[in-house]
Amino acid sequence: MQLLILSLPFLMSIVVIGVGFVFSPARFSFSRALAVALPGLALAIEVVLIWQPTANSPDGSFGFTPLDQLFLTFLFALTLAALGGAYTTGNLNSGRFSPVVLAVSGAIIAALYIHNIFLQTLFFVLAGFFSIVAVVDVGTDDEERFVRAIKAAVRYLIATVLFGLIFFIALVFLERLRVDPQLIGLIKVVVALTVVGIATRLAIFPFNLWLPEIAEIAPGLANFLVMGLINGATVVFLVDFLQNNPALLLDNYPVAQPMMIFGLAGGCAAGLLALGQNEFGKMLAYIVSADFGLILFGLASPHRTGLNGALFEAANLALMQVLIYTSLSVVSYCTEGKSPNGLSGLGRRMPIATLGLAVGLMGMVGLPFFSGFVGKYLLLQSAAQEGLVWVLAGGLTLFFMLIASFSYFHRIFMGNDVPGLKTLPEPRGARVIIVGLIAVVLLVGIWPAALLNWIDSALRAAF
Amino acid sequence: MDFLTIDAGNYGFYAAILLLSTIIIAVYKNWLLLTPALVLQFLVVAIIANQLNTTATRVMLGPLPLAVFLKGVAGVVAGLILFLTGYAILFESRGFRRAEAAEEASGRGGLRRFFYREESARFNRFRYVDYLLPLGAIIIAAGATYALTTLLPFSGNFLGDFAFYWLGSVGIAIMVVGRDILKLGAGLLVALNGVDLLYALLRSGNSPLVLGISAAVSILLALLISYLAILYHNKMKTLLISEGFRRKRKEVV
Repeated sequence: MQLLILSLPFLMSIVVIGVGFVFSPARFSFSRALAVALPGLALAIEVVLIWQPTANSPDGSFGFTPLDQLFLTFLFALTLAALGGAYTTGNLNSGRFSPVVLAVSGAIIAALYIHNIFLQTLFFVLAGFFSIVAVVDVGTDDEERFVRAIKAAVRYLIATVLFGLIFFIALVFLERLRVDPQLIGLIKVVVALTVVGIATRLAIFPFNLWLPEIAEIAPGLANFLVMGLINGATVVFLVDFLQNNPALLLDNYPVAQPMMIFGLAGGCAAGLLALGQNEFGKMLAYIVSADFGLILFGLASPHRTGLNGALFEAANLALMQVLIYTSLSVVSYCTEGKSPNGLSGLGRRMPIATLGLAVGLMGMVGLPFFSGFVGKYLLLQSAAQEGLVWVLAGGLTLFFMLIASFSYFHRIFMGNDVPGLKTLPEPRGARVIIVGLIAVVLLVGIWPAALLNWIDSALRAAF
Repeated sequence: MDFLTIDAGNYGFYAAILLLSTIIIAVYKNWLLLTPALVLQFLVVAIIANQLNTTATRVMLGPLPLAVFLKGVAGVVAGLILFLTGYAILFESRGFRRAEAAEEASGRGGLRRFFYREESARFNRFRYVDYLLPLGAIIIAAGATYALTTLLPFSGNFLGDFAFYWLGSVGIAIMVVGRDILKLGAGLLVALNGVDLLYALLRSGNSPLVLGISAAVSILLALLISYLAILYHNKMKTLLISEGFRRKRKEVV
């Protein structure tokens, strides 16, 4: 059972590569269909296996916590939607995206399944490595974009290795601390290294320098892999890690407080910088960075509302990533690869993608009746328990995010049409996926109790 | 003589190889020097790591500790991948130059191509100044290593502390001053070696699985660097990222 759970995505990835090698996805439409169906099948089987009681080994070497089970199911459902979006917008033609999705999924399953903290870190590093192949999958026709993609990939590679190195060092010191509890001074070192490592992975300001270029240049749905799938799993991993080591943050308020300040200040600064970006993708990257800053604040806060809010927001962020980047992939497909920067009035030509993007941005900033509202509300509630300044800083972050999102959205999708611009009609399949995702966003926004209860039950291990 | 045990007689030898190999990786551009230096460094780090925290598990009919074996294999494979990548790029560049010369001879060269060739010859010629920055970075890394080893010793073993700080500082220095993709990759591998050493210094028990996955990460990192380098070179005919940008900017102007 354990071997099957760990190896299935990688084996299926090899099968998909083999099929793509024999029948090029660029030429055979059934090969592209298989590139969605096979990963879909593998991920569906994984979800079934994850929930089996026999998945957890008796000696405790392998096992999923209820939170892992809940999040992996949710993230894999979103991954299937992303694969569908990639299929309909022609992102599967190179034959690289599907195997990468499977390899990344396999690496994060291993990272959450194996109960060895060093191995877990190494598997997150591996997930980052695999996702780089999707980041540089931009084609070589547009030379400038290609050069920027390679540069972004190298930066991301360095950030991934640095995350692994810094977090690995933190874990080695933590191991030392376990062997010799007298070394109490090491706790601050371990927490500082942990936070810097995780902040590098989650791209929290000022450790987010690798993200804007990726968000601007990489193919839309590769961004979901980087920011939604891997970072979503990283948040769950961090919650497990902090709950297993409560002396680090949860039961250590004097150390937790600077981390909360770091998260909130990072979120506020990233929100402010989002206003000054000259490209849409970069603005999105800073908004995501601000959101992860708020999530870090929630994880470090001593209040239950903060933790619940952070987890709810992590799930919302992954959902928004799929919606936003599927919509942007449709825009890219319809404009035949043109960058949306410098265009305007796209809303008339591609109404469903525009609607998806509008809903995605409103969900990201947490407007009422959208799925992001509850997470942001809980985080602000947690900030309010700390004091007025805290909640004002949280509110300011959301305000910056809102202004940045709406100004860019208005500039590109509203206003006058660009004369002479030729666009393709929106693909029907992508429309269905976007409308489905919008329905989920609204459903969770109007009735968040179910997801909130699931998260709360998972945290109490009451599934 | 037992090469796998560090004693007073060969202590300096291993420290010298570690220093030299790292300096070669940081300073030189030549792949014939760089990749063997990387492999040597992996082997020395494996021996130092095993000396600091001996692994009980042995392979190859008994004499070879598992940690040394895995690290050594990872080093050889990573070095081989980078060497073959460097060789493939060199081979492709020669082909590109031959094709250019043939076009030139047949009168299809043109002024633009002439200027491009002049410019890249100027860019690729030997200049002492190109070695100053990496050398400066090495000197700064050496200072940082000395300061950290004397001010913040954490393991009680001078060689272990020194090797960890040295590899970490030089790895970061290479990442900062490195201009081409393969060089940046070598910097990442050096830094990764440093953390492997730290794991050997401070871990409380043996974990063959961690050692194995760590070796796999090194190999995959080398593969990824090779993939990015070949992808970039195929299109841009250079490994220097800034050069690609400069060329694009000129075209726009």
